Amino acid sequence: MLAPQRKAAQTVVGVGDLQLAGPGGVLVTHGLGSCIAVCVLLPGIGWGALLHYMLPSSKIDANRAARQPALFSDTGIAALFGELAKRGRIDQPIIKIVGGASTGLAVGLDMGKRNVLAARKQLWHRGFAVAAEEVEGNISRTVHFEVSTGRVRISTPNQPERVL
Amino acid sequence: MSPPNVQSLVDGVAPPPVTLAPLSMVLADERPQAHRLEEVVRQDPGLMVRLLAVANSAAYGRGESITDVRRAIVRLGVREACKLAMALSSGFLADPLTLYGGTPWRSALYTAVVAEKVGRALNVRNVGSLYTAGLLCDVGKLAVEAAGRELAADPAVSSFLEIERSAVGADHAQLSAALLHKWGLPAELVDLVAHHHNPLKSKNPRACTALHLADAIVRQVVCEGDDALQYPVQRAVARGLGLKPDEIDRALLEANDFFQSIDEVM
Repeated sequence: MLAPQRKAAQTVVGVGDLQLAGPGGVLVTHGLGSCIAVCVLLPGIGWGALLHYMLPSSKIDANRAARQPALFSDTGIAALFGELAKRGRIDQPIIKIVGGASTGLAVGLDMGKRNVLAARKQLWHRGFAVAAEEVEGNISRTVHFEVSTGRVRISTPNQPERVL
Repeated sequence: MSPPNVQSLVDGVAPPPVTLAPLSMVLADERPQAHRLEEVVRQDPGLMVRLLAVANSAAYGRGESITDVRRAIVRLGVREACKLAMALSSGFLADPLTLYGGTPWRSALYTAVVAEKVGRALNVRNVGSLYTAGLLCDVGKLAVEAAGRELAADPAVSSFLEIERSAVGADHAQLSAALLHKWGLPAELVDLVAHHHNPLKSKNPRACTALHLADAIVRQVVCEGDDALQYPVQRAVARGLGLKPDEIDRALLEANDFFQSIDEVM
């Protein structure tokens, strides 16, 4: 008789939140609009992290960023790599980004576009490339990041699931 | 399609707390009066308890614990206390909407805060009404939900308003306005809410444009319902009316903090 399959442990990541998971873990974030989910896997040690940030820059409120760095792109991505570095060396991370949707506002008020640019800038400054992305458009997205495989499953109401 | 029977649709929605309409009138005053606010809050013991909880919370509480509504209003400031009391009276928006997905709760609080901020930036008079309009502009979705007819997604349709009209004969903006009218809220608010997706038809297009823009900004960020990104933005408004990105970021941050302080005590 086969042993019953164990369901992977799921951790929900809220808005302005950062969570880590080891092998077998699944990090989930719901209702991504203009926010960005940054999914990072360290293949050497099997740990992954998911950051769900809301705003492109912490410059508007440094005190707030100190209390909740994951609200912002710059402090959130720094915190993400800081936390992963506690688990092992940051070596060839696999990075995938999802989100950045828009309601059609002009560039300055298009939170999605500004958030996508902010993610790319922060990663580029660290010398990291984005391995895969599904960004912009006018759809909401729910993300399941499977740490064991590095797969990022994206679901949207009334649309087929996509995998990065 | 038969003509929309808006009245029968809104009759399917449970009445709100008795404090909602009087609070909206206190907040509509450019200088809300503390004694009027206190009178209204004292009508609802549940609201009183929740307002005291916010006044004593980490976000607002400084010094000794407060057990009296008058002192809570002093600590919070009259306008802020009034806005908090309105939000705390709108817990009926936290029920899940099965037809849309999610709940309108978070987006309602965000839109209220951002609408007030955008209104100030655009020199709109009486931003208190904009706060209330932002809070309640999607309440009509409760009437669509109560009708229980499926909202069939249609890729050929550019606006979710059309999907609502096909399903129940009226869109949520019309239904929100009918509900606010039924609940005795001021006519100015009814007009703003009725036209929040088509602001140039409002009797107060400047204020309604601020509401329309705030709604578009918030729907990007708070993307809970399947419909969140499916309403068009007026072309002239989409350019942002001179608002700066930092102003929007600050408004969203404030909305996030406001939501957290309310959600903690609900």
